[in-house]
Amino acid sequence: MSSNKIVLTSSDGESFEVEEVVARKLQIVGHMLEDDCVINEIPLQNVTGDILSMVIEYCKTHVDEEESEEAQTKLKTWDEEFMKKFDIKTLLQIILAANYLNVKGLLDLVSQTIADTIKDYTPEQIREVFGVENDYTEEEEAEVRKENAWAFDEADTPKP
Amino acid sequence: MTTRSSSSSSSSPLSSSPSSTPPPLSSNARGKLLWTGSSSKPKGKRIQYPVDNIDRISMLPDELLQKILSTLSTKDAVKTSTLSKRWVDQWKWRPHLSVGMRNISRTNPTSRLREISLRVAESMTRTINNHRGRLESCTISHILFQCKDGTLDRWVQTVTHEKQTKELTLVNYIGCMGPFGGYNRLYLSPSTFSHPSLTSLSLTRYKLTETAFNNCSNLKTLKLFDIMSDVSVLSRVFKACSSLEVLVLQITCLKLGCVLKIENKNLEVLQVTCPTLINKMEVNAPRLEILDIKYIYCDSFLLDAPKIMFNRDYWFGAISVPHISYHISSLAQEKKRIWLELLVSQFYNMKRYGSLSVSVDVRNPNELKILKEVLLLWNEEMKDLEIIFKNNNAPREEGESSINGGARNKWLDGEKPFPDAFFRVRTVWMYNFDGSNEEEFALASRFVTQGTVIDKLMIETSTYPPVKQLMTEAKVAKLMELPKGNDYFTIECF
Repeated sequence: MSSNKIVLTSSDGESFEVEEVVARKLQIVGHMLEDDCVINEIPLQNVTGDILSMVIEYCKTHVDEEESEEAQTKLKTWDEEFMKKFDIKTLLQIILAANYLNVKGLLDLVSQTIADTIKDYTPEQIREVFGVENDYTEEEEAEVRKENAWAFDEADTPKP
Repeated sequence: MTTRSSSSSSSSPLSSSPSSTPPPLSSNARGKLLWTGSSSKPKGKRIQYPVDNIDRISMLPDELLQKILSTLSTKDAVKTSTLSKRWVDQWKWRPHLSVGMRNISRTNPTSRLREISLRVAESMTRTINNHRGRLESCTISHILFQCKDGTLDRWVQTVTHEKQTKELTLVNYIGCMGPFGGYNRLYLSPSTFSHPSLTSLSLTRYKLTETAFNNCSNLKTLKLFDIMSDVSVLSRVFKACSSLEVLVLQITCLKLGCVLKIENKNLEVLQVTCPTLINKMEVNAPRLEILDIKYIYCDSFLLDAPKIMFNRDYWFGAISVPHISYHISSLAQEKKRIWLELLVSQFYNMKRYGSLSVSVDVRNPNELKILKEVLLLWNEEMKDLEIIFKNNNAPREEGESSINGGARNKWLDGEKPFPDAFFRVRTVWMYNFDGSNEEEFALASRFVTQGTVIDKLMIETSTYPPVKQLMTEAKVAKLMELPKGNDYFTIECF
């Protein structure tokens, strides 16, 4: 594999010089490189420097996906630790960046991390943690609950 | 009661403080907007819970919200519909749907089960109908009332014919409770399971009828758990499912005196648990690679499956020992994973017991890897392990004869125990053992030095021509000279 360097530039003008193999983990970059022009600098309009640096950190760690069990376990542990570093706001920025830059592994990882947070909470708690604004009227909300009553354990738990 | 005709957020008592609410986004501005402002934040500083009143997660584009929800259980995903209007439809596009009344009999008095289950079923119907798009998989659980009143039939019609699900799992949670009397007949319209999209079907706790199975050549996987059926009905169901590759049977037979026939030319995996007596069982499956007999009780068993090899009686006579015959071949990763899961899926601790027969080419690293994974499915010690070495007598290149010199097969390299340091087996039987094959010898010597074998290591040589017999026995003598990991076992030729 060539050790060609590529410069990735964020929307706020921060530049990162990375190995080509790392840059190719960003499929958006991979596609640009396949269009066979010799590019050394790639501007990435929709991602800021602080988020791009996280994405690059992920791609560097995942640059060679080894098959052996030990390598897989090690990567998994790294992923978990990596995700613990971020608050929800940052996670949401990373998921958008991973989607835009087309880094599938990171997209899956952040989706799973956010989903795991949702899973542990009641709808009221989810609203609080994620700052989701409730625009239902009471009646509307009750109607939505009723519509999927089986999922709320309302119908299949005994009335006190 | 107040009337609310307006749906604006300010009229809702549950909405958060309006003071710093961001202006509503037009749908095409989503995603982009999130980036404004974030760049001006100093790096390294984090905002702690609760976040700054900006509902960022709701600003994610639909595809990302749906991606996040797709990893949740259906129940958890459906619950998010109450968060806000933005979320009401997001769960509806999930490719996997699982609806049911799993806890209903645990949390309710029997006398009210009928009434309550009707109510739950009604909301399940709405959820199934509200789902949009096609389905990859669908799981529906219910109790006996939904069998009888046609609800189950309507659900199944919707998910197979409209939603074109590829996998369907039906679970009846109340099988044979006293007041309801016996198992529940699976009342379904004719040809229900014949939709071309449906490739995998799993049924738990029904009395099987054959009408739903007309011409099911679409099905590749059929799993029947806790099923009651006449032997003749079963045989006809298997005949109708002519393309089956995987068949799992956990059955109680009602009517005896018939032959249970499984004649499927594409069948690769067959798992059988049948605690009632069957007079005769006939299996004709030329492509069968795994035969997993957990329990059978039958007078006669005719097996016509050339790849399945074992030399000992495991399940004839009074004592039936769980036994797998596994013809190992280099498989696609996905298939291998599904098969391995299948072999432990019905065990609560996901570990097996009993005996194993494998045919394997240990020179092939992929096959050896599968062998390792299969051996590690055993929790307690394995009873008998038969290894039938596949005969691939390809000439070996010069300089590859030393045992320690092989770098090709990392699973037998170095000092790493195979399959691991804890695996134990009472008796190992080796067939077609060729001592001059360095991987075969390496495997055998691992079993000697690691203390893997508890009682006996038996190596078949009696069927060999005289010269080969002598040479192999010389290699076996070498095995005997190795330092034993366990002092009390013997090595013998037979």
